[in-house]
Amino acid sequence: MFNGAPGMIRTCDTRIRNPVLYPLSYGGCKRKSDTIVVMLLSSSIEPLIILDY
Amino acid sequence: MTTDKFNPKNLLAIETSCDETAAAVLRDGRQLMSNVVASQVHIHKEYGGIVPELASRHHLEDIVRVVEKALLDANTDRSAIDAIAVTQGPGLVGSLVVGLSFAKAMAMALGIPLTGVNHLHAHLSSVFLCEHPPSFPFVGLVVSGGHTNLYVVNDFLSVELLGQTRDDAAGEAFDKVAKMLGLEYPGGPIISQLAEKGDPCAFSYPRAKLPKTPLDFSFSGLKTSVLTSVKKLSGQGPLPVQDICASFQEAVVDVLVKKTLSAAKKYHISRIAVTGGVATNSRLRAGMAKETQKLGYKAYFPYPELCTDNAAMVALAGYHQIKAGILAKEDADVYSRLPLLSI
Repeated sequence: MFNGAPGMIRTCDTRIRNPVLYPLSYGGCKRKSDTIVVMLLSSSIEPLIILDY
Repeated sequence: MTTDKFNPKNLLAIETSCDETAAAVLRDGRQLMSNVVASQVHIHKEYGGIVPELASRHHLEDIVRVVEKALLDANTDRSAIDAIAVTQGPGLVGSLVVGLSFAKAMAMALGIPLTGVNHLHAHLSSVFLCEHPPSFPFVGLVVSGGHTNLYVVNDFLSVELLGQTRDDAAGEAFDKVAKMLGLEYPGGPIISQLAEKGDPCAFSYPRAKLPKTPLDFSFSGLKTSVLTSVKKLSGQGPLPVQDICASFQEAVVDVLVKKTLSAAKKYHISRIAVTGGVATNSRLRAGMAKETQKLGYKAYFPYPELCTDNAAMVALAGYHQIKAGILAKEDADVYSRLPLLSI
């Protein structure tokens, strides 16, 4: 006894599944490598800001 | 949820409420060790505004490396983090979910406390990230693309709402006027730049007074007035874009300065903090500084880099919440609307 199609999932054909269900995930633009901006440059030990409150 | 009080040594903060993925490490509540922001502005620029679905998907792509960089810059690692603060709202739900899920999973895996921070409370806290911060109480204006709110801030965890915008936020009005004039997104920086060469008295744009709730703001009438003048002038030669920008900016700044000073006078408070993305506007900074000086008051602004969304401000607000024992439960959720009426 089994449920659904034997030996496979219902959306096993990823060629169909991916573009239909996740269009942006797989068709998105490539990321630029410089998107991370360090707002204030830091050394490895010294704090960026010492808060005075 | 309130539990035992705890003083975190190394607090990791995460902010993903809109289109910036950010992480920061705060040591002993006073030393900002790192502050990393991955901006998506170049992605949303071509659409003329933020596309929520794209924003959340890019948060997913960026969050791991942003947090890793924040830990690396702080010369620490996950094992040294003893508390996490994360923005819980208000903001874009899809974006907030990424930050909160990440923070919850990390807190659970490390067995450390988590606190959910209101984004507006974080902006108000950002004024302590300047060289000479104000003492309590002070009047705090949060002015950004999503908010224009006035508060009395009595303590790190004691805030009272005085007024807010009835329609558009000031930053949103900048973006919409920029669109009317065919300028790029985000509108604030480019309008400010063009306004420098224009005449602020060229057009007499309206200032909403709202007599029944005088500390509330409204920018929709101003926006419509700009649209009307643009339509009227179209077809009569080149648009006087610089004059329109200068007059529009003057109207926004005028209202923000007058209402903030009016709140300060009403509550007899001489310290005024201006926070949020629009606080980078040089005309607003100059106008607020000049008018406060006339009254013997003082205006405080965070560093311009810390006016826009960042995790350093979330860290500071979160630190004081954790110290007071205000922790998030395991089923904590995100909220697109999370009014900061009072704490």
